[in-house]
Amino acid sequence: MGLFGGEKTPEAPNRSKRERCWESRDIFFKCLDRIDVVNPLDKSLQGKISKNCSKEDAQFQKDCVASWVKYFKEKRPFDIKKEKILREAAEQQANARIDK
Amino acid sequence: MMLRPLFRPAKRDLRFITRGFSLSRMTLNELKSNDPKPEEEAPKMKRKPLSRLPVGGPDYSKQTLKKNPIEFLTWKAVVVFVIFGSALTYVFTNEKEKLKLRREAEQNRGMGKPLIGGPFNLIDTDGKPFTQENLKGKFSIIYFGFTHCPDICPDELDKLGLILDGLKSKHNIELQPIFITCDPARDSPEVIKEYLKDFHPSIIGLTGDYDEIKKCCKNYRVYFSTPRTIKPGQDYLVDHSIFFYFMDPEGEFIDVLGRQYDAEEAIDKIKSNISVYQPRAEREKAKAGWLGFLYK
Repeated sequence: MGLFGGEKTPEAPNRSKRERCWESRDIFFKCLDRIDVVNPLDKSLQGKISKNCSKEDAQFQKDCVASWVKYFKEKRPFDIKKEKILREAAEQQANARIDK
Repeated sequence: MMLRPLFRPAKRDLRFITRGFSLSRMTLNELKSNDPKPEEEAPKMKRKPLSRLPVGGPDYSKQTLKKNPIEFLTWKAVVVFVIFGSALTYVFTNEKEKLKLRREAEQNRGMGKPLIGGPFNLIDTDGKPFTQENLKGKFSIIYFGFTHCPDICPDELDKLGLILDGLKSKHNIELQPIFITCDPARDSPEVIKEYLKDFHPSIIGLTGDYDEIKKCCKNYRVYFSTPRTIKPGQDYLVDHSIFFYFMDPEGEFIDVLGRQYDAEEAIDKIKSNISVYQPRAEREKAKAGWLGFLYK
């Protein structure tokens, strides 16, 4: 395969691998929820995370490739923020309906 | 002042004429009515001119209403009205919707050079060439992604499977689904083939060399951030746009479907776009015709 540099092609992640990765991610994030950590990349929180969720974190990093771990960790604060905004909007809508 | 005497005699003449006429009619009736029941006819009031009826008098409505007026409010008339009305409403809203969709599609196609789409030269998972010519003859849906995509692409490709199955079972529509990688360095035909095994079996996976993919992404306005050279085994993610591109059987762009659509909504949108689709020649004919102003 001249087109692709002749290197052995990296294995594409398949469904079962993806699902295993997502599962480990969810377990790790649940642990973060328990200790009220929003941003797992926050430097000041590293001690707290490693104290409480090091096992989950290790599993997460084992089941997902490094780029995904980084991606999911970066995404978490945004997802939480988004969820919060959506929840607030829904509540406001519900309240507005009651006011009527 | 001068006109008055002129008009008076004319008026008087008219009165005489009418009276003479009615008198003659009466005499005619009398002549004919030699039947045995003249009393029954008598109590029935003869029609008087309206001007002679006292308004609000007891016989006013009897006198003014015709015996058998054409009735507009019969149940038949109501049924006919409702059926006719709803049929017309349906036809017009339907046509309006069609026109709207066609106009949108036309705007998306753009004038002259298409805004989105265009020639590309890629290879499928069997290494066979695949170009824009392969889009012809079928409605296609194109998705750009990469196999190492963490969460969005797999979700979207699963959704694509639902869309394809839904269109097939509900409307008997078969699209040509195409997956184009934005990550040619890692996604060889073999890798894509392996990757697509997890998804709908009809999806065609495409890759190509770096510059061809880059050009193709540019033509489809897909944000492309893949590094040109990577060390083997290097791990990275690719930022890319996440739309389904819906293409007509002439290989021209119709619409995008973003992530906000769930499978059902996407099916409806695709179905309605297909049902209003006209080939280019027909579109141009319609535009040149007497209803052409509707397309502007």
